[in-house]
Amino acid sequence: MVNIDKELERCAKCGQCRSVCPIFSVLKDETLVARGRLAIIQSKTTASSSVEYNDLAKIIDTCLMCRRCEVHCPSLVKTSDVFKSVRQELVAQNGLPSLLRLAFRWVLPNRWLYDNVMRLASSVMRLMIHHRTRQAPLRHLPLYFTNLLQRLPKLAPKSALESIEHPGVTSGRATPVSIFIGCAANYIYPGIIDGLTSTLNRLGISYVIPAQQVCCGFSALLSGDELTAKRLMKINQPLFKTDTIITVCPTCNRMLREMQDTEFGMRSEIIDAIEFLADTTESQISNPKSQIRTVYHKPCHSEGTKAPEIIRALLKTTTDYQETDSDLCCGGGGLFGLKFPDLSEQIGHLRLKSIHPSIGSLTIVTNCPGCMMQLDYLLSLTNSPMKTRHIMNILGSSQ
Amino acid sequence: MILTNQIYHQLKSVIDKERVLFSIEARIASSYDASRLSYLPAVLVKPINSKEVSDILRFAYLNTIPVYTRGAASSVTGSAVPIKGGIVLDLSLMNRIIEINPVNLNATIEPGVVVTDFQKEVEKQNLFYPPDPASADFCTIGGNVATAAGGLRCIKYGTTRDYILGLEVVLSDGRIIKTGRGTLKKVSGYDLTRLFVGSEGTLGVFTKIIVRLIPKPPAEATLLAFFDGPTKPLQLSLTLLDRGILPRALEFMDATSISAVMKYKPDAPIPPETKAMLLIEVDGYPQDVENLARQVEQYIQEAKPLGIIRAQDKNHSQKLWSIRKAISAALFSITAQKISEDISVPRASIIPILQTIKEIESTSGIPTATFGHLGDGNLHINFLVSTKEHENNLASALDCLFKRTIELGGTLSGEHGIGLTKAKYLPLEWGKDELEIFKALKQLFDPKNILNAGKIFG
Ligand SMILES: Cc1cc2nc3c(=O)[nH]c(=O)nc-3n(C[C@H](O)[C@H](O)[C@H](O)COP(=O)(O)OP(=O)(O)OC[C@H]3O[C@@H](n4cnc5c(N)ncnc54)[C@H](O)[C@@H]3O)c2cc1C
Ligand code: SF4
Ligand code: SF4
Repeated sequence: MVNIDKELERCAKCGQCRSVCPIFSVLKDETLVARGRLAIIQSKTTASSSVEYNDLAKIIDTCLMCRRCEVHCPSLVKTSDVFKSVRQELVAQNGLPSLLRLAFRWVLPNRWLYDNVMRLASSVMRLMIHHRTRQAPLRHLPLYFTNLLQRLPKLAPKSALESIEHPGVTSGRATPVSIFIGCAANYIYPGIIDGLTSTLNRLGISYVIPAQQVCCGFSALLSGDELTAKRLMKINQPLFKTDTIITVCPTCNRMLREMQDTEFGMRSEIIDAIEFLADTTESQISNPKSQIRTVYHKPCHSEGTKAPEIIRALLKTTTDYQETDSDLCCGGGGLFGLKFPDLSEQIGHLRLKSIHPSIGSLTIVTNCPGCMMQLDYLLSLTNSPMKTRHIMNILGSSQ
Repeated sequence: MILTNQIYHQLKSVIDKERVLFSIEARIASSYDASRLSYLPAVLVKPINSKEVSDILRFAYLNTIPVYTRGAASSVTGSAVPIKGGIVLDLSLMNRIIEINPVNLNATIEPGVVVTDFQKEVEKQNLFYPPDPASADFCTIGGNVATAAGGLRCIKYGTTRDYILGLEVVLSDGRIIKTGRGTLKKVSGYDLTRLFVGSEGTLGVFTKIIVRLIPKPPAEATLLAFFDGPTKPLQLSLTLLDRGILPRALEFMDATSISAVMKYKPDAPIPPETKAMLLIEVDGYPQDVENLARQVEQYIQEAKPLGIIRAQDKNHSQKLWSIRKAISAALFSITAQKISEDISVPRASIIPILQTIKEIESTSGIPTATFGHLGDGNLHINFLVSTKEHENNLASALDCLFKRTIELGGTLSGEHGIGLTKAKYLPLEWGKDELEIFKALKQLFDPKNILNAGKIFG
């Protein structure tokens, strides 16, 4: 357990976090950058109860939990632990919004229910798209739900878990690895899993995909619902028995790793699929050379890992790769886009602008299905010819 | 003096009320700077243009309310903290680059532009804005002008002071004046621009800044050399200059700084027995740079180093720089508290001042870590305070350091400024007559003493 007071004390007030915080980059509001948030939290711990901190909830909510401030903090302040613990406190005081509560407590832990809710969402969405063209407002729906329906990309006809016929292939390496799928790859981009499994097959690496696996629980924990996060871990833990677990989403990866030293944490090595492939095989993991023009979008949750470097090198050697100006955030941040759609879009548009606007047919490669959801949504708004691909899609198609 | 919430309500009729903030959260977030000192202001305002700044100042002047201009609040001397409450004027929203003019080699920008953002833009046009304080990723050009910020390339390119051609300034009563033009040369009237540079928010608020640009040097080479003690690198730095080599950076790190960095960044490629490091960077045309780098490397070899690393590419160079840039944070991993001073001495006095620091260390018992810009004599001396005894001895240690610095022809601050933390030492450096002139100037520009009240003169 981190000592929150110590973390607060450690902030040197240097201001470095102003240079990396996606929220600050659009709003220029010091109350919404780590330095300000920490100072406010710290002062609240000592303030007399007569002082009213009316904006505190908003200040905590408008954090993407992208963790850029933490990765770049010279004083090594564990900002995400501080923010998480304040969220939990706020939820303990005020409770969760009812819709979220419903989703977290009932839907996420139940594979069958989750599948069916997603199916329902997908039909409503089809209806909605129909409505949207007729400009029918959906004002009577709770805000979350409306935003969710508007922003959810098209669901795949069949989820990754539903499409898996042979959850284990034991042709190559004797000890298989387990694949943790995660919600976005499961329901929206199952092609990522196809790309991964076909690469593993090609390289002769055996794998298992536990069919009963559920959500990693990151969104629940982030929203202050530790209870649900724990329940999900408890379901997942016994399903993953191999020494190595590979992931295709840096957020799931981070969540699973952070939970490792808790009661229900997984005890195996948890590694991003691309890092695993780069570490394991001597041979080339991708065949040269495709003519597609690519840029790389670095997911915030990959900061500080080797994945970005590996992918950049891979794209450089196997595609027509362009370096972009900077590594800005896409503004997605899980539920953040649902709560603050405008802010999320502003951040996202900044990101797209930094990818050369003059370049037309360009593929934005990333290693996070969450970022793909956000970028796809933004690209659809502007009818852009650019498209997104997960690095596993690229590997999978380079037979 | 009017009451706090009256200030708030009246200001809302001066500028858009969305940008007048009174919540406890907003006030806390504008109470501190990187000195870690903190005082709550009454209200925070975020103007978007000169007119609004002028309206706010006119209001403050009429009501005699202190005004604290704020860039990124990365000041390490407390110069941005609102010690007397009042209004914090946050310029973060005034961050437009108005014009970059490659023909005239200048640019006009608003004060809230972040230094690195600006540098990236000018470099796209093959131009160069050299001042680069270590805080460049987040500090603002307005703040740099107000503190005459230095940085890592001053030995060759000078400080912010050398790149400011003119300013638009809002005076304490709301009048807007212009100083200087976009020309490189100017002898027409007094040089008010130079007076405002380094004035730490006490004479006026800069709302537009005209900066000088130069062509971007096309190539650079970065070398990091490791030594068994300070004598050889100090000698080497003088040798380089003697032989006509003007590097753009010449950074020194002492044994304590190095051991802190080794702890903080265990993968840094530093030989374990290293007791001093020198980071050297040269720039120019590719062929010249290659020759220069070879010569530098040869001189380093003659000084018998423990090792040399030459950066292979930009990425590698950044990695070498990250060792130097990590020191400040790394020191926090070996001490609870650090008091950093940034005295500057003439180059010939570097060796004597380092001796003084050793003496202070042994009489006061406070460990020190020294690093910084050998090239221009600006050293960062950090007192690592971790016991009661250290705390008790700190005042006399600082006294001793500053006195000796002045004796050696140096100054209290090379780049951070006076702010709050060094105000009481000002009379060490300046006599009665000079201080009177300072105060008369302050009186002329800010008769009601509302601009950054409580700073520089205490
Ligand atoms: C990690 C770190 C490294 C640093 N490295 C260096 C370095 O290498 N070299 C160096 O010189 N400094 C350095 N500094 C100190 C600091 O970054 C500089 O003093 C910088 O110039 C402050 O800019 P700012 O935008 O943060 O201004 P602030 O801290 O907000 O303000 C500083 C002063 O300028 C005044 N001011 C700000 N904007 C205006 C304006 N538009 N008009 C009038 N007055 C104004 C303020 O009132 C205040 O007095 C460092 C600080 C940190 C935290
Ligand atoms: S970067 Fe870290 S130490 Fe610096 S202000 Fe932000 S949180 Fe504090
Ligand atoms: S986690 Fe991301 S959004 Fe939140 S304060 Fe840090 S940098 Fe900003």
